[in-house]
Amino acid sequence: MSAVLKISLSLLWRRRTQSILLIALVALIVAVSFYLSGIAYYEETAIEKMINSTDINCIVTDARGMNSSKLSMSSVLVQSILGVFEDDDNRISEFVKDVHAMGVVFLTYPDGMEMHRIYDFASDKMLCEFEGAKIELFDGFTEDIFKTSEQVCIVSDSVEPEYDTENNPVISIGLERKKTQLRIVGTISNSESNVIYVPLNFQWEKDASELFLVDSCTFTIKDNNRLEEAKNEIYKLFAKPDLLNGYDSKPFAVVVQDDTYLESLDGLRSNLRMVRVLIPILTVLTVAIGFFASYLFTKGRIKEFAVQRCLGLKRRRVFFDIIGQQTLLAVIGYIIGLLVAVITKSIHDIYSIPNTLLLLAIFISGASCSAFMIAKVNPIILMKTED
Amino acid sequence: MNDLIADNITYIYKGKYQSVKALKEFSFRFIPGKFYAILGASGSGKTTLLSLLAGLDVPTEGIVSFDGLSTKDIDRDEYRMEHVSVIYQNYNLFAHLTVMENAAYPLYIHNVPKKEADAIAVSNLKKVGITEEQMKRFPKTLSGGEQQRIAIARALASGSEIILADEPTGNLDTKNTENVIKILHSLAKDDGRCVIVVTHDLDVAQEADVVLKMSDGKLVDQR
Repeated sequence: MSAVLKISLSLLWRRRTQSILLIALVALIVAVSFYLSGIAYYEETAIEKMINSTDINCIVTDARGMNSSKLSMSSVLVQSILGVFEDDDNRISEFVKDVHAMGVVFLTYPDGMEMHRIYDFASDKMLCEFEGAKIELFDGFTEDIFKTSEQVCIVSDSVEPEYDTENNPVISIGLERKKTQLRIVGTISNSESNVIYVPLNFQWEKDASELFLVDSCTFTIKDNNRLEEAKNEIYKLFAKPDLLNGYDSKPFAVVVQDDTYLESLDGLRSNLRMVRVLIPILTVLTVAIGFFASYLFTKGRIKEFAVQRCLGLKRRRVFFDIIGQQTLLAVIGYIIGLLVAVITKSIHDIYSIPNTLLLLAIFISGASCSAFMIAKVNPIILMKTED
Repeated sequence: MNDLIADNITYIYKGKYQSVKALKEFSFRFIPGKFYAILGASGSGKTTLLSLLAGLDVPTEGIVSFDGLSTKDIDRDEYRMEHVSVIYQNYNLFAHLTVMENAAYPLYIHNVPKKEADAIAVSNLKKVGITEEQMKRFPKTLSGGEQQRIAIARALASGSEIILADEPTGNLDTKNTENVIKILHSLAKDDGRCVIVVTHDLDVAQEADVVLKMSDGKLVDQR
């Protein structure tokens, strides 16, 4: 190590008050930068999590948005939502998931029986609301059978079944002139005994296509990133709920329950915007602080540099001497700032390290500008000025 | 050959609104082994002359040459490092370096190993009457006379042939003045260096081999 370098290093120690101030300044900037990056990362993660994990429910209502349980809505609309029609212009099915729909029909046979068309168990509140209600599907059957148009059903375990020729349990039902026999694929205990649950698209006659009425329908937005696109599609087929709506063009509306979601998302995005504004401000401040701290740090030593120049030390050597000292202090400050960030768990994202390194580089650039100015000192200032 | 020559030099300070001719057609040959005193009132151009001789700047007109080479044509940083040492009225020592480090600094920048440089500095400091105890202290803890002697020891370190001193006794009492002048005199006589001192002090001038009197930027008398 050269003698000048040794002297430069020992000078940093002898001027430790200034050195510590500069180190502390850099450490503070780095720690704040990590903290802001941490907040940005936290906000970004929270936004991503919110987008990916929030279920935005959509409820089909009457056009005024007042009623969602006894809609008497044509099954065609639900089938559009489900994407049953291949040549349908509407693309709602691309944007929605977890469709629940049900319709109630009062059977004429057995007398007093209700037939509930359901798309899945969650479609019917009765299946969920009865405390202790327990559905038991027979072997070989799953809930998915309710997504078909099979002539199957589940009934209360108190119902006495008939048996068909293959000894399968069945139940005969009738509605005015329509009659059929449904295969029982499961039972439900602790529930209303006068309700038969059949698939939503159940057909009285096999391979027939008949319209039926749906009383309630809900669904969820599939991809919240495409919420606006989804809403556009939804409101092509349905109305936006409004008390002033008539029933002429679009008799049904959809309430998209995205208010809380959008409000929370706006809040997070606003926080993120603020952090993202603060980061460039911090960057500019770093340059300014780098320049002024370094300038003030070295300005008091201007005569010392003038003497060095007078002793024949070249300007570039004076410059590198100044910048070397500043860089060393800045690097120590950076390491301390990094340690503080590690201890305070402010580093959430490994990518924030290059950003803070960039900040360090900017700080040193600011210091370089000041060092350049200081190194330009003319040693003639050491002479008396009277002449 | 190692003469320092000022050949018809003029120096103009160019201000924002006006220019001032600080030095007017000054010519002189300074030779090794002589002790020169430059006298003159304030504003007579003494310090400007010293700055030009030190290679801190170049004359507007004319040339300053050393060893036959104009300061306009040589690397003036190297010139100051190798051939010229300047002693100031206010010493200009490094406050955060010890006395010994101050005296060794020119050797440090010559890349002389620290131990070797320190040994030379100790020898020079002893020569100017600084004790070993004082060598470990910082300059501010010493008197003005002692600080000026440290500055002289620093000037000796690089082995320069030319010693330029700008009012070296301006801040010193009579006893210290005598001491400093004695050392400077010895540098000329015993070491064969060219010592040029700018001063107001007639007592200093009396010790000089050659006295140059300046007025209004011109050399008006010499003895």
